[in-house]
Amino acid sequence: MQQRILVTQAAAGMVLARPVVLPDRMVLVGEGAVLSDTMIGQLMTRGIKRIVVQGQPLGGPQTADWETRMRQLDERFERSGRQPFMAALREVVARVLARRT
Amino acid sequence: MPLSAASIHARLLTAGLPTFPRTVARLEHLIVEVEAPAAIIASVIATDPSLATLVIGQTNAAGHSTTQLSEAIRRTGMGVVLSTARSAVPIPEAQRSALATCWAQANATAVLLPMLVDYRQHIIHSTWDAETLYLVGLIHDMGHVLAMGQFQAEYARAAKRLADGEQDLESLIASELGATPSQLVALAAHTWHLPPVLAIPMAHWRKPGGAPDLAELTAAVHIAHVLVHAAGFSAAGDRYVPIMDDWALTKLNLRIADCETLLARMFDAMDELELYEGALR
Repeated sequence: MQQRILVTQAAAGMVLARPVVLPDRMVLVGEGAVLSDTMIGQLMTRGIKRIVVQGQPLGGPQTADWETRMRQLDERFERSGRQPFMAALREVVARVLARRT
Repeated sequence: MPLSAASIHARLLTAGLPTFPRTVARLEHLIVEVEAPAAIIASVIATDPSLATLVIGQTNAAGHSTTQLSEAIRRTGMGVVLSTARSAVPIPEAQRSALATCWAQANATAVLLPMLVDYRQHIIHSTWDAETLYLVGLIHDMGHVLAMGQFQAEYARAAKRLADGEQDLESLIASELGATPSQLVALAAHTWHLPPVLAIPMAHWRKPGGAPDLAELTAAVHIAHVLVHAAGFSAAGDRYVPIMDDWALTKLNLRIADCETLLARMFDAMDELELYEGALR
């Protein structure tokens, strides 16, 4: 499981699940790096706004396994999914998520 | 029992907006120790709906009419930005996880809204720049943040009723609190000194057909919010995706295939952000 978070919400001890890559494709901080306060400060100074960390330290959309994501999708549409447009939108979201898996 | 209008107004006037203490600490570091440029400071504030609201409001209150954070920071100066950030209320530990979901939803909407407006450029005839549209998306749901942050007990009761099977968080908040999030933010937007392009969508995106002006933009904010929520960005107690407003869909002539295109582009853009934001050195 991994989660995309804002750098402003990062804390020392979190572990990067994806490398932070600069526009010239140079890796600034590699996958698996354990964040320190100094490192977080450097990321902010370079204008990095989002990072992907291991686990799910904050609430929000999860990068959980496929079954869990589909269950969460069904829960989100529990109250609106019978309306035709919303039922179609639920299918669209499932397709978009599937393409990204 | 719902609160009286006077109590609600008094609390809105006296309570500050919530923010993450870590964000304020990092702004202090960037401004005081690193002397980072305005673009970096703007990029940090642009992750935080409360700070963005306060900074843009402070700038407009001082007579500098702007809807861009970078310009607001240049005009007011780093000292004012820092004191504004310090005036925000630290989010209590118990609320951090819930408000983090609001921040994530706000940021995703901020990414999607400029894309949606550009996608429907021939209908909306937008005269707003991408930075302004980003800000409109970022702060569009401050009514929800106000309800959560300043009326915690009433909000918790409404969220519980929603979880227990009752419909529509907006109506449940009105029943517990005496005002909907839209009504809260309509009151607050005046005291925040927000210009109409920010204040109108903020107060009317839930029922965009009722917007007195900026109909297309308000419809776009409604659609962006529903798409972002559908994609997985639920905010705190607002668990269920609201039904897309027919009027808004018709106004922007948006079909289901367009929604698929937009959602795919939003996720791609959020991946790319990690790349291009590194260019802000």
